[in-house]
Amino acid sequence: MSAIDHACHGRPRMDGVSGLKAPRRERRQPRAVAAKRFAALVCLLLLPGLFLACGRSTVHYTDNDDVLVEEITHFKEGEFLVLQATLRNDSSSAVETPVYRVEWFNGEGRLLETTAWRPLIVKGGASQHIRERSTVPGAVEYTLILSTDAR
Amino acid sequence: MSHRFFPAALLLLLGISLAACSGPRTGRIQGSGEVVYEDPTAVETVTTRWGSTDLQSTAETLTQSLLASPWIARASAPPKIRLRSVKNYTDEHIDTKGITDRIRVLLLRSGQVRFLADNANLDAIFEERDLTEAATRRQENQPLLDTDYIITGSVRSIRKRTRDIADVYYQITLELTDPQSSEIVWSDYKELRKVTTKPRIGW
Repeated sequence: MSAIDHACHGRPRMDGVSGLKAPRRERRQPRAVAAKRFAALVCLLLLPGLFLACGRSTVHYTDNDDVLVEEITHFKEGEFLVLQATLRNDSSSAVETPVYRVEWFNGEGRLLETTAWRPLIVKGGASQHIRERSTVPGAVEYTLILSTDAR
Repeated sequence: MSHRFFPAALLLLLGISLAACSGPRTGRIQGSGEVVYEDPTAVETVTTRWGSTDLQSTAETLTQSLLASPWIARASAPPKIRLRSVKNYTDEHIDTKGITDRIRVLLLRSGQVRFLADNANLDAIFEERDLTEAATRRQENQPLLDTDYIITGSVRSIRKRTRDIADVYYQITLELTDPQSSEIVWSDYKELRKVTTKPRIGW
């Protein structure tokens, strides 16, 4: 279960929300029974996600340059949350040198740790993969902050 | 109406003038020089020499890799580790203790390992023990020696320079070794490349 909430400024939003949808039921049933079954199904689908607590990921852009997050995903390895993202340089020729950092949060939204800013080189029209792993147990949410500011 | 307005305006003016006359801002002492605080984790590219960004990214990346190793991740109890030296084989001064100190802090925060005193503070510990030896039996010193793993490593560089370009490549390697069997159970490296170009006109 993942929900990508982009708090980007002046950028196209990435529709990466993989929400849970109840399947459409074709057979006609009495309304109350159908509603109960639907509610039970939704709960069944949502509960594992809540237990897994693989919370939200957020991407923040601090400027309007050409490097965008093309894909972002996360998974748990033991106690630790791992994020993997693909960044794409939309410019056809210019080499971009963005920097990024990751903030890791626990389920209550408390900041657990922040990585140092990391430099990155993304050639024009190319993609670059990044992988970061929390080093404090209990991280379920993170924010990837991407910047191409000079400082 | 104007009678009510006049005292209010007077108070406002008084407040503004008092604020303007106030001294330095609370909690701040500023000299005449240009000193500013910057983000200590910002990417630093002042020169091609080993810098804070290299230290931070190396320590963080290798810690992440170490925590993913099965010897740490799947250990039944947090293993006891001793940090040995990271040797500097480059042609510049690099305080490699800075790398290992940061790795130790990150690993301890993770709660996945326990650390035994390393070379730097072992002397102080033995001194302390000598002072309290009367109250301490020798066998109680044994746990200090029971290291599950030691961490060692090296920093190497390749530096090339032409009239216009200076290029330096760093490779930082760490190893996790079982001291009983001498088996290297984990190893990983981090590579860094820094290039500086001299502008054709200027300087």
